[in-house]
Amino acid sequence: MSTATTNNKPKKAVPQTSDGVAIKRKSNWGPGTIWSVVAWVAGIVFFFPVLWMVLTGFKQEADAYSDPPKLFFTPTLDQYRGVLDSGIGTALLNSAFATIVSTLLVLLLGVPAAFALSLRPVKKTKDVLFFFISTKVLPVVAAIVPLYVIVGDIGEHRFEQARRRCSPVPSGHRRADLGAFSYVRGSWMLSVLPRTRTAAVIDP
Amino acid sequence: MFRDSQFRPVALNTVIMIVGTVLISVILGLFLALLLDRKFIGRSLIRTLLITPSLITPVAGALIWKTTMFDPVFGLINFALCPFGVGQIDWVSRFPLAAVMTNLVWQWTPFMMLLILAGLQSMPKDIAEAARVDGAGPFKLFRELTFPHLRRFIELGAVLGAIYLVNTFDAVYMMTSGGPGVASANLPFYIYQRAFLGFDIGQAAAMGVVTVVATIIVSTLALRLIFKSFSGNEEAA
Repeated sequence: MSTATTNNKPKKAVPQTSDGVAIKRKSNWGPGTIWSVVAWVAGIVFFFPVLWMVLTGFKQEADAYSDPPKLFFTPTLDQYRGVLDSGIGTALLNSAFATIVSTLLVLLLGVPAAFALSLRPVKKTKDVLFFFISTKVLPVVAAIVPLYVIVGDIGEHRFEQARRRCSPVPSGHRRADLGAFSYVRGSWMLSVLPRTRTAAVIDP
Repeated sequence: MFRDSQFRPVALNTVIMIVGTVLISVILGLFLALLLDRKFIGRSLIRTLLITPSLITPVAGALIWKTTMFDPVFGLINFALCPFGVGQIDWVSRFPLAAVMTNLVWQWTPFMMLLILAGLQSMPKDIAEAARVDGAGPFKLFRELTFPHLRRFIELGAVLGAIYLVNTFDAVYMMTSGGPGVASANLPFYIYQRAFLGFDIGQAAAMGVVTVVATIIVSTLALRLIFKSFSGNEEAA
């Protein structure tokens, strides 16, 4: 059979129904297409909430909350203007500051630690690594609790002030940043560390 | 703390939330990864679209689901289900835990999908080819070859997902605030409630310790498993 198909190659171009051609056409329009369509539908379904968020961003308030939902509307930049005018700058700066500084600190602490552990492994290195990772499972709020008490005890600010600063409502104060921030620093070090270490071990 | 009548349902919620979310997102992720492992038109576009949910800030994701999807009057879910005779259901208050989990699954499926897809693409093609020549059907091929190969990647995804999901706070805070009652509160949220709304710092700290100890026990076992299966085989990665 296979020799026959290789010998009769020019014959295949002629629309004569030969077995090989029929099978090939079936696989082009058969289950393969269905799975592609399924993949497309899945992708669009997963993306849809994001798409809707983007669309809603360009709507007037009346269009944004409407029943039935509006797919067609006259786009506006009012909402973006409103956000930019309401002082988003402070929040952006806070985010940038926390991200950049904590990344730098993570690298500063994580890289030497990873090097030390990979060059001169202590006894039970795996347990040490596990200890590092285990702080990652501490809920953020639980990590903030001791910080909160410490801030309260420092007496630098009154207790009420400290409480307000530790609440998760983002209003841009330094002390709350510091709490979240030292936690982020600690926990990110841990996820960076084993990876760096593995890389260092593989690539000495 | 153990005498606190609310602690037990909250702990149970946490377990349901983690196990349910990890299970569903692994299954969905496996399915999507298998879909994306074939060549078709627009594959890279679809891959990008599928990854997007995990790039959205968790707070924004929770808000999208709460206000635009699950809203009883303006929500798109009710709008889509309207032709099937579903009235104006307030999803978030009727099924609070399931609503939060939907949001979490939506955010975590792409992560699982990427991990499993990496596993699929690191699979040597010649073995599958040989098996196909030997007459193995697609289901047998998946069960005997693909799945055993992917097992390590799935385990890794499940453990990483579980470790991160223990800390879920923003989704609960934004969508339900743990309510009604403690129907959708998980341990981090309950700790927050006790410490910063109930001013019971001692109890909150104790719960934090319990959470950590419980997770460490579970993840020790899980990580042992992963270290074993990854160090046993060098071609993994």
